[in-house]
Amino acid sequence: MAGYCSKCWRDIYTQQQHKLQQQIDLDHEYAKKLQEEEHRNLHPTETSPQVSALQSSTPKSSPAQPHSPQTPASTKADATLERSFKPFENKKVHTKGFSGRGFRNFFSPSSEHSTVSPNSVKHKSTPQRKSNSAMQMSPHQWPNPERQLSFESKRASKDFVDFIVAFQEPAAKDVLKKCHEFMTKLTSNNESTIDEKSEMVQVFYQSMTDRLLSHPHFKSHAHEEDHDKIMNNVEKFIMTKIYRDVFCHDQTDDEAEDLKVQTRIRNLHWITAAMLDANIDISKSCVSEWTDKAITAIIEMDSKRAPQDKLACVSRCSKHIFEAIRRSKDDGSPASADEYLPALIHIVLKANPPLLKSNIRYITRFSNPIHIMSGEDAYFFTNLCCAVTYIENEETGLNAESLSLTQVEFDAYMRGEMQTGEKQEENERQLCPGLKLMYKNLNDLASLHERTDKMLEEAMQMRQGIQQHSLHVKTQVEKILSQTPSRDPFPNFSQSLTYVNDSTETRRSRSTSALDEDLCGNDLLPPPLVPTVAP
Amino acid sequence: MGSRTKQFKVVLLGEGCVGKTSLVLRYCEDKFNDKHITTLQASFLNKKLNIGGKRVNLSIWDTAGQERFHALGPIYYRDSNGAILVYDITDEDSFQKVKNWVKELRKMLGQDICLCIAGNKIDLEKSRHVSVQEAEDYAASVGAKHIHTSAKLNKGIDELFLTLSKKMLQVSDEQDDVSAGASLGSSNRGNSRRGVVVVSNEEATEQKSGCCS
Repeated sequence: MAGYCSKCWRDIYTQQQHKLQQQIDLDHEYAKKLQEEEHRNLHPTETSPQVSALQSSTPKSSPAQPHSPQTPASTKADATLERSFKPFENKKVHTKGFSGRGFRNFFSPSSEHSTVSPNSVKHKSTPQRKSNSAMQMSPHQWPNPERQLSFESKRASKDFVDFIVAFQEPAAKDVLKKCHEFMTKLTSNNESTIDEKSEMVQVFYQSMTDRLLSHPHFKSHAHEEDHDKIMNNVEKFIMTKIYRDVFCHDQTDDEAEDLKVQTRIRNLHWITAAMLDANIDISKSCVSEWTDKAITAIIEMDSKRAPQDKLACVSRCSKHIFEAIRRSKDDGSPASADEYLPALIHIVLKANPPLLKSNIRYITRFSNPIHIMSGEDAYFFTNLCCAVTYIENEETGLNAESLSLTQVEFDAYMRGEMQTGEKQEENERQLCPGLKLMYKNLNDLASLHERTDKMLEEAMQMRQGIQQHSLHVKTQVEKILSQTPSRDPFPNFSQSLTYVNDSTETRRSRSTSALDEDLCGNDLLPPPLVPTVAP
Repeated sequence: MGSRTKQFKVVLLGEGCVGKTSLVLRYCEDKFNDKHITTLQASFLNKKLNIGGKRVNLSIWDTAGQERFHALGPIYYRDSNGAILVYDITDEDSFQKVKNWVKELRKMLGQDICLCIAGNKIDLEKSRHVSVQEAEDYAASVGAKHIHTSAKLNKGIDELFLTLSKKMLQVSDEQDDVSAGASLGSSNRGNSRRGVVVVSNEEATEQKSGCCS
């Protein structure tokens, strides 16, 4: 994800692979020589030690240290079983060699001509041709037998063998043989297109089903459930094994389609649940919890190999969606398709699964038709197909009209000029608690700042008011004083007093003078009483 | 081989609000507008039936009825054995939609698909806007059964699904006769091929639609 686009990554990966491969080829040459010598000395007819090492899945398969075939501590019963599985295990090695080749070819078709030694070129470019004759060769002659199988591949083999040994021997052997034959056929046929491969797989499923119904080996397992179980395991095993060969194949435009859908979804990131009429109220934490689970489930699909495992992810995703819908509703009634599809579209838009298209095509091509034609998984998968088709299609699917927006609005959203309110809210919701607190504190600080400013301003106003007031008082006093200069008994005193602002003395002096003024200004009053001496 | 359960896929088509979901909930849970409905969702339900000793498993697929999802119809109804087309007897438009669906289904799937038309909400008989005669004549003209239903009163619903199931059984038996000896599996196989064709059609149109950004 980080750093490179898929193309650059390919280039870099090719270079690295190339160096690695040269080293591996050299090692391999050496290992092969050693093995051949030892093999000739010890067991001219037995199978290679490496294959038995692979079988017993002990970590002994280092290429430079061949060991004797007696080392696997297997009982006699195991040995017979082993022998019956041997061709199948050979197949495993073969498949790997082939898939490795395909992989390399995928990255750089021209690399073989430039730097690899002629010997290794032979190894890389011919395993498919050789495959038929190679069946008769001793397995150590396989190209790159020491190459590690992927974890999934190993596990699939183990699970399948574990499963199949539970059945009676002829049945188990027969199933294994058929699977083995089929994979040889499929992988040896390198030129066939993906559709041909799909057809081959489908024909195989069919012939296998028919065989289970008709062949005498399976008489003791005539139950439908047994058949379904066998078919399920066969499908899982085969598809896990050939996954690398058929998933997102370089012959197809799957990768380009994936990128196209991804870009489209990225452009549509602004669409809210409400716009789609999806009844999902993400503001409720219990709802968003389920939508998150749904998103995780659909993305998890990439990590599964077998078609039914991928389908199970889709189903899980859908069930989480139903849970989210139920929690968004007040009455808790079951969700109908009218509610489910918009919600699924919403989840796909939110999740933007990277290999969506590849996964859908892979399932369509290689799943046993039973899984995608009937049953719950089929229903959910079909809805996912609908959701993707709806998102992709600009003419009849997601467009301004279907979102009840005007074309102008739609374009503005597409260019990112407009943002929906819900989107912003959601952005906030996605923040971590620490950031949320920080934003809250910042908001508080901002409002505090505002209030302080306001207070300061008010303080300034008050100060001004006070100044004006005192000025006013001063002028008033001056005015009054100028009106009554002659009556002032202390002209000099009151003059000097006017220069002192707002002091008690001024007030006193002013009251004094006012008293005087009053006294002398009021002639209407009766004459003051004169003290008289009582007779 | 004959004891194997028949799997039938039935799609529910019809405009939003005609009561598709109520119909299927009434059928599978025998409940209407009930708080105690146990299923989480009513969009995919299974119903096991036994018709004259034959085991039948119906997978009932509800579809989104909103007009903007109409174009997705083919993805829903491919590989279905039967379709129930629901309209609201008080809503002339919804009957028109049913006609469109029938036309489309016959065009895409031919006679392989069994059709049943359900005139729902007969509890609102007073405000009926689609005449019984018109609806039944139309159904007969396209080879479909017409049944009046009410999810609220639980009328006609069992009959609806039973009629359809019988019809599907009949068609499936005929197909089995045609491909005599071939198992159910191979008829499935044929279906799946048909499905693949539909997919490739889609892909072709998608490619035409050009770059998305």
